[in-house]
Parts: sequence; structure tokens; C-alpha cells
Amino acid sequence: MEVFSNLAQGFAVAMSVDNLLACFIGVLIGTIVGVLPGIGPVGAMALLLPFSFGMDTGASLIMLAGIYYGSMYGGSTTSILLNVPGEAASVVTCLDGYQMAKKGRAGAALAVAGIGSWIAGTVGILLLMLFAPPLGQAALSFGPPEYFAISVVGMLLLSNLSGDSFLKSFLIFTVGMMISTIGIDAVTGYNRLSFGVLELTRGIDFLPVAMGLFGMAEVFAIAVEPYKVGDMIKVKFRELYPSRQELKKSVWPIIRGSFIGFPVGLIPGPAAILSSLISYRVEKGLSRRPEEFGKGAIEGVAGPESANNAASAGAMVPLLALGIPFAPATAVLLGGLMIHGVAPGPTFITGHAELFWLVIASMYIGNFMLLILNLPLVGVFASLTKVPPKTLIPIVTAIMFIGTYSLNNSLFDIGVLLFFGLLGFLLKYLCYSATPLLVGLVLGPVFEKGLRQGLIMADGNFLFFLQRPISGTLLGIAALIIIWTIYSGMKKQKLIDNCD
Amino acid sequence: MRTGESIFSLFMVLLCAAYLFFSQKIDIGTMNEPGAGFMPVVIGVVGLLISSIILINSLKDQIVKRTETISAVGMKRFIGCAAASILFIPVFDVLGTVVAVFALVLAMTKILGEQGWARPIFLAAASSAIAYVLFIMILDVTLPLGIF
Repeated sequence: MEVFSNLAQGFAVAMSVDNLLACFIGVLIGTIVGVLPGIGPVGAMALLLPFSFGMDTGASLIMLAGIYYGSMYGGSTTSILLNVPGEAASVVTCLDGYQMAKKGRAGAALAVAGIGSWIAGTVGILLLMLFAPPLGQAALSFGPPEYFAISVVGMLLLSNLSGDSFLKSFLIFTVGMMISTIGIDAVTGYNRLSFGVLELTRGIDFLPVAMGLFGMAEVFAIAVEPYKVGDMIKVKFRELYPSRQELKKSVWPIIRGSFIGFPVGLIPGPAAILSSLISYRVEKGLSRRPEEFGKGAIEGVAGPESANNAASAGAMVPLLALGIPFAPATAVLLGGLMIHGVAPGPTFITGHAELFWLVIASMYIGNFMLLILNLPLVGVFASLTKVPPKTLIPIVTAIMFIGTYSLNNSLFDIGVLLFFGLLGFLLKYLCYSATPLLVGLVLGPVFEKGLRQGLIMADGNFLFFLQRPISGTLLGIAALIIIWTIYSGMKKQKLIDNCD
Repeated sequence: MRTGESIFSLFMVLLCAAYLFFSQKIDIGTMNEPGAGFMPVVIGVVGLLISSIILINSLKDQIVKRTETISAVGMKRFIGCAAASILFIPVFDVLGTVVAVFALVLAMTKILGEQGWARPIFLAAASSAIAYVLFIMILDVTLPLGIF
């Protein structure tokens, strides 16, 4: 009952004009970002974060969160109408969504995607509301060994799930951690690896890195190969209505997608993409007519689109309950919290209860706004893709530079943005994932603090970490992940050798 | 791609080796009181090990992976955009936001293939005007004004 009274209070504050406006701006920008290929939610969130300094903390978080889950809606529009995924999580929707559009069922596909996203988003928020507070409460008893163990498991899972190679992703994660060690050591005050450069003394700010890896790198990628948008399949408002049969076929995929997406969102890695892929495979596996998948099966739209929305809510749980972001988008949200002087962690939900419930309430409102925005205005959003890259990219680049500079009024930060932009482009070209680098940069201090303080507690005895039930269990899981990774790598190598 | 990957892997080995070299100069402390150098050394060792394995694998790898090659035109656009971005910094510092945004948008629009000059100039002028009004006047963000 306390949950619902807190939620009611959250709604009361969320319904203020400022917060409603912030929510609307966030979901609108998120939808636009989701529609436009190349520019993803992480880049947009990182870009707008400096400009949210002057906003109230709650409004700022509402807007940033709105961009994140709003982009999941927008991505499906271009997947269905143009066969171009606006956002990585909507790649799977192209498979069946565009085929439905070619058969004249674009409206039905868009409607089911929108309704499924809304239902799954609502389920995801409900689960977030129910799981995050008790997890936060449990995390109050976590000590440095537990945070170290969580970071280790997060690192291994992320490396396994990102990119096409565990070793490559793990290496990039390690590079992120290396970067996190630059600057003044929090414990001893020693100035590490700054080489006398004053700007390096305060460490490398993760926001220019995020903008570089996910914003500037995309700018360079589009410069090399500008995306071409073909003829858009037109859809009228009155066609936005699925048949009874299509609605009936969508019910269970939406429900399954919601409950697949949420737990996937909890684990580190590209949760939205993974959840939509898993959902697609599940729906195809359960279907009585799997041969229809890839040719316009409504289940192939309903399930994945629901899953990626639920995953975005799931990804908020580690951030809000533990203060640990396992995804680039939640890392930026963490930045938003810290900039406004809010310490993320287990005490966030109890210490800033009004803020937590405000964000939860605004997510319900934002989801509803997205349903209303996306269906009638689908043609308007999709037509944004007609803006050619040669017009859009220079403007986005200029905004990125100004935004980066405004963080600390430092040209050095623009240099960092450019450096990581070039690095991100190189990583993309060489098929490395950039996500582990950013997560490594953010998790590095958590990992280090957990390890060093844990060793001090344990008087140098590492077995202490294994003797505590939670850290011991998590490190045991980490060991299993390593064993499984080695085993699957050896099996894959054997298969390759046999083929030769 | 194999060559590119091998070069990158070698670069990573050298980077991790350099990181480890400089890290071991910092006080590592003891196991019951780890110093500032403890974590960098641990990460440096792990990084060096992993990057070495990747380098060896990339040199041994007999499978030629399908790779995306960059066309000559694409490479020119990339170099042009990178150069324009790098030049933005001194222009922004010395001549100010309005001039820097104008120059950047104009340069990148042309590099990305916009024909003629009227449209790029209009776009650049509009972008710098909006940047001035929005960021400096409305949002009150402190930006270099330079010659303005």
C-alpha cells in the first residue's frame, strides 16, 4: 500500500506544468532520435545533459529518461515504413514490419508496435516500481566486496554479450578502466598518469567520451557512407487499426515480450537489442506457422517491440537501486544525477524518495504521451528521415561541440570528444563494440573502490571475498561465466578446425 | 581488414605495455593496504595479456572475415570532416562561437556533398544565428564570443 501512496504523490508532482513539459520534450526528442538513423539515444542524452544544468533535478531526469524510452518507440516507425532501423533495437522489426507494410498492413504494424510498446513499457515500469525499492533496501547491507563482485560479473557479462568476441570486448572494457584511473586517486590523493597535464588531473569526464563514442563516431560513419532513405510507404490515420485477428495474434507476444525484456534489461550489455532478438526467436519457436516469420508475421513485430521497451525499464533497476549503470544510456542518467548533486546508490530510493517516485510517475505519463504522439503523427516523424545527412550532420556536430564545451568551459573536453569520436569510428570499422569502453570508464571506480576497500577490510586476504554469501555467490557465477566462455570458445575452434 | 586488425592489436599491446610501465612507478602498496598504483598495475597486466592473445590470434587467423571497405570518396569525406572538426577548436577559441559554427557547418555541408554555395551559406548562417540566440541569449550558456 505504501508503494501506491508514494506513486500517487509522484503523480501529484509529475503533473506540474514544468515536469509535464520536460516529459513531453524528452519523449518527443527520443522519438525523433529513434526515427533518425545514425543518431542514437545515448548521443542525444549526452548532448542534452549539459543544457539541463539550469533545470530542476526532477525535470532534468524526466527529460533524459524520456529520451531513452522514447527512442524505443521511434525506431519502429522507420523499420516498418522504410526498412531502415532508426535505432539498433528496432533492427528485428524490419524483418516482419516492412513485409507487413509491403502487403498494405503498415498501419496495423505501427499500431501493434505502438500498443505493444505502451503495454510493455507500463509493465516494465510496474516491475521497476516493485523490484527497485526492495533491491535498494537489500543493497544497504552491501559492502565493498559485494560491489566488487557485482562489477566483476557485470564486466564478464558485458564482454560476453557485446560485440562478436569476448576477448575484444573485455579488452575494450579494460581500456575504459585504464582511462578511469587517470587523475587524482580518491583514497590517497595521488595524481595518477596525468603527465603534468592540468586537465588530466581532474580525470577524463565520461560525458565527452560518451558523446564521442556514440555521437561523433556516428557522424564520421555517416560521412563515410551517408544513409540513403528510399521511398516511404505512406499510411493514413484511418488505416492505423489492426484487424481483430491481428490483435488476437499480438496479445501473447506482447505479454511474453514484456516479461522477456524486463529481466534482460537488468543484465549488462546491449539490453534493448538482445531483448528484441530473444523475443523474436521465442515467438518464432512458439508459432504454429514459423514459416510466416520474415514474411509479415504480426508476432514478429509485437514481441520484439514490446521486449525492447520493457528492457529500457529493466535497465533502470541497477542504476536506481544500486547506483551502478550497466548500459551507456543509464550511465548518462547517472551523470545527470551526479551533476545535480544527487548521490546514486542504495540510499537514493530512500534518501530521495520524492525524486524516485517522480521519475516513476513521469515514466507512466511519458509512455502514454508516446502512444498518443506516435500513432497519429507517424507520417510526420517518418518524413524527418527525408532531411538529408549533409544538412543534418553538420548541425548535430555543431551542437555536440557547444554542448561539450559548456560542461566545464573547457576546450580540452572538445579535444576528448574528437579523440573518442575517432576512436569510436575506428572501433566500429574494426568490429569492436564501444559500449564496454564507456561502461568500463564508469564501473572502473566502483571496481577499484570495492577491491581496495575490500582488501583493507580483509587484511589482504582475498578469500574474504568468497566467504561473504553475496560476493561469494557472485564471484562463483563469474567463475562459471569464465569457464563457459572458454568452453564455448574451444568448441567453436574445434568446429572451425573440423570444417578446414 | 586482417592487416588493420593486426595493426590495431599491436597498438593495443603497446598501449597496455606503456600503461603498465608508467603504472608500476606509482606506489602499489601492500595487499592489506593497496596503494594508488595497485589498480593500474592489475589492469595493465590484464590488458597486456588480453591484447597479446588478440594479437597472436589475429596473426594466426586464417579466416578472411568479410569486411566493410571504405571507398575513396568516403575516405575523403571522413578526412574532410575530421579536419573541419579539429580546426573548429582554435577558431572557436579565437574567433568565437558564431564564426566557428558558421565555418564548421559550411565546411561540413560542402564536404558531405552539397552542391552550390547559396544553400550551404544559408544553412551555416542560420545555424550560427540559432546557436547564438538559443545558447547564449536564452539558455545563458557561457561560450567564447571572440570577435563578437
